[in-house]
Amino acid sequence: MVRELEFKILCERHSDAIYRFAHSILANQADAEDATQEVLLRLWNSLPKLYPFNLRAWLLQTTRHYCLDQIRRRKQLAAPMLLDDEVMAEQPDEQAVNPSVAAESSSRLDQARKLLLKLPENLRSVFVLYEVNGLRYREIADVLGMPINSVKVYLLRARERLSILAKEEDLCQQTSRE
Amino acid sequence: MPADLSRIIRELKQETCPPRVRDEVRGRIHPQPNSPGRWWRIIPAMAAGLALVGGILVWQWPAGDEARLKTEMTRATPSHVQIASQTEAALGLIGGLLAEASAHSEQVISSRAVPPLRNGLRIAKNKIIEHLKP
Repeated sequence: MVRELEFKILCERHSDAIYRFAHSILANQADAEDATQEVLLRLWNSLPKLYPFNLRAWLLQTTRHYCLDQIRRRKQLAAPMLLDDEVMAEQPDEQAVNPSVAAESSSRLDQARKLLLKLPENLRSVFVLYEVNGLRYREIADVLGMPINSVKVYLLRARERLSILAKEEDLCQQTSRE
Repeated sequence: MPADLSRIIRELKQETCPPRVRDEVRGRIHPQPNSPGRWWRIIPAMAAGLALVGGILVWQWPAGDEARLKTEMTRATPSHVQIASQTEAALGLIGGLLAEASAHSEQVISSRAVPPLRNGLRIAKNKIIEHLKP
């Protein structure tokens, strides 16, 4: 009972961070959902053995390992991973009941995701962990297995590149409107 | 930070895990007996949290309200249930924060307090040994 309650609280608290991180690596909603489920199941199985004070780092480290493992496995099987756009093209949209509202609300998020996906994996991970999930430098260093100084450099580079990409995107949109 | 970067971060922060993922995981887990192995680590933080909550309750609980509370609990509406679940989540959050604070305290004690104490003891031991030498 106590374990279930603890698990429920941890799920509520960390599932968004796990999902966002998985989505940023796998670039696909369905795969990110699968990854989140898998990591939460691993949490349930490992809960009695885990030290409770660095759970967030453990969860995100497990998420990263799982996602990179999935990417590696699919490359070996020669089955390419579908990006969100490709999935949307193949399947009917769940939110198609009210397409205009759904499109408006998700377009900006999609645009942000597309820009993020243009970054290399390590820069993307550092950016999402720091800016979106709110981890500290030390936690990010634990999750990614790199020195704190590298985390700081990667974050700086990710910010610079994203900023440039966002400006380029704005310029493209302006020219297409004209 | 540039405005466009802030906009991207804001958009990405809006992304949340679909509730069906959590529901599916809860459906797949199998209840197992609790293992007490790790609980001793967070018992002090939990005890402190419970003592704090209990103290606040006792302090703000006027005499004679018990019967009224019982009748109100029997007439619980969906909003009461929602409040109860929100309270549960808030207590969980407080517990988590206390646990993190406890971890921080542990780290500070082990990194700052223990080395000087150890050095002091070593110096005292050396002085005693020198004093006892003929």
